[in-house]
Amino acid sequence: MIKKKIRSFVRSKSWLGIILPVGLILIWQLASNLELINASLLPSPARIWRSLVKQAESGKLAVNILVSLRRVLVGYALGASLGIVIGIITGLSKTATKIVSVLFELIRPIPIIAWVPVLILWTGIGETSKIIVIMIGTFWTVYLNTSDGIRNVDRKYVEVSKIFLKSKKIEITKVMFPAALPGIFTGLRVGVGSAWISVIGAELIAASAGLGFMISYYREMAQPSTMFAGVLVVGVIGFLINVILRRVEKRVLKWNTVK
Amino acid sequence: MGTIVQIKNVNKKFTIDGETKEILNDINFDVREGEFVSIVGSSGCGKSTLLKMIAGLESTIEGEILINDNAVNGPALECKMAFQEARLLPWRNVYKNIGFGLDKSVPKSERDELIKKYINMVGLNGFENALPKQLSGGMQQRVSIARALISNPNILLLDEPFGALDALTRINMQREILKIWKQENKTMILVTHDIEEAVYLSNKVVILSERPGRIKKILNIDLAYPKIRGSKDFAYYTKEIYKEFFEDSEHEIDYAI
Repeated sequence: MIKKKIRSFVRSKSWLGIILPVGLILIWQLASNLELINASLLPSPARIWRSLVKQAESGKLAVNILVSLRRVLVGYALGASLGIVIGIITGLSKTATKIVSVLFELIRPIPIIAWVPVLILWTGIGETSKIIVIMIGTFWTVYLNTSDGIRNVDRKYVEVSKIFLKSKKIEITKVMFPAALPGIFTGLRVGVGSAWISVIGAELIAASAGLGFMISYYREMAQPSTMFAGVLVVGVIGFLINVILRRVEKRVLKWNTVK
Repeated sequence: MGTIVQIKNVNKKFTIDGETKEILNDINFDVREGEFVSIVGSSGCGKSTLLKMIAGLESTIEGEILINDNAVNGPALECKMAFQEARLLPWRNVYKNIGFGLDKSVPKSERDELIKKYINMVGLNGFENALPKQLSGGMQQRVSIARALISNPNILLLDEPFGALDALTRINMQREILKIWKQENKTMILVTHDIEEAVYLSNKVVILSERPGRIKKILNIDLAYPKIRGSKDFAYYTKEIYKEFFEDSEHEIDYAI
């Protein structure tokens, strides 16, 4: 079983992707050993790793990760749900699209980070402001992809629903929604990326816990290796979230990829 | 056998980019209960549109279409359709696609038995969990036909269901559809551009002209089932239909016996 997996991994050429990051770390470590890099600007990988282990052992790292993840989970769930619901409504109704069009096109270009000071002003420095920032970050991609997905559902499937005298509710939930699901999933996957970016951004500006807070705190404490450890964890978790979502997508959309 | 479908003075126009195009012109014919009627015509003559109008899928109708003396103004319970491209829902397996044909009035306890019966009828045992993409074109059409039949409609509309199939599969499917027609006592209306298929399957062939589609001729096929494709009488009817298409050209000679 494991042998088989290894063999298919080797054959799939997925391992080619590992060469660059590993090579880069080796060169970086080597350059640090030769003192070609100023360690107060960019500590060596080994130094960052030691700081990371120290953070992990003290339990602070787990706390920061959990705080950030919890915020993302709540904000993402709210933003994605709202994006799907409003996306379905505007996807179904041209009138609804027209009603929201100007407002949405005015708000959408505002960078997520610009919302942070505004939301702190309105809701204070607590959880609410961060969760709303993540909601906004998630909402747009999910909304746009859902709306487009529903609008572009092949009329042929809708005719099938009509000929079998299905109710409007069945037509939307059992025909149009699954037909639009590949598009919606693209939105969900891109959306989780912007949710993660949003939480770190919000925490960098104002927070007392979380990975973004960890990065800005250790910059102020002049401990660059711990700061970089935080950056590294942000990257790795973002990567893992993407992997998980792809797995879910592959399972849910098996019908779309099967040969 | 009484009349089940009446088509009276039906016209159809489409407006494309502000230009009005006439699709069907003054269509009149009846379909009797239990009859197998084919509508033939070259592509673009409006034959599929006519079928969709009978199915209640076209919103504006000039003239009148009656099913059991009731005017069609939307899809009806007694009338189901199998489409040209099968149109299975790609996210549902065979079992669930066929189940989609069941009306909500059918109680849960009866659904499973009914679905299994129709899977059996179209010979797809063992493929219950297969997704549409995993099936051949012929199998997809079987699912589509089973989905249409499971709601037990009196009338089955077939929109070139065998058009995309290879010759051997097509002949097999034609046999099976005749078997179902006999067994289940349905009224069938088939749209096709395959003249042999029309003669082989139907009691009556409605021949449409090129766009705008008008009725050129309605031909009764007085042959006993099962029809023999190579027979002289079979060839006679095929030729009669070909004549309608090529009356002004020399191509007629190609099909002379």
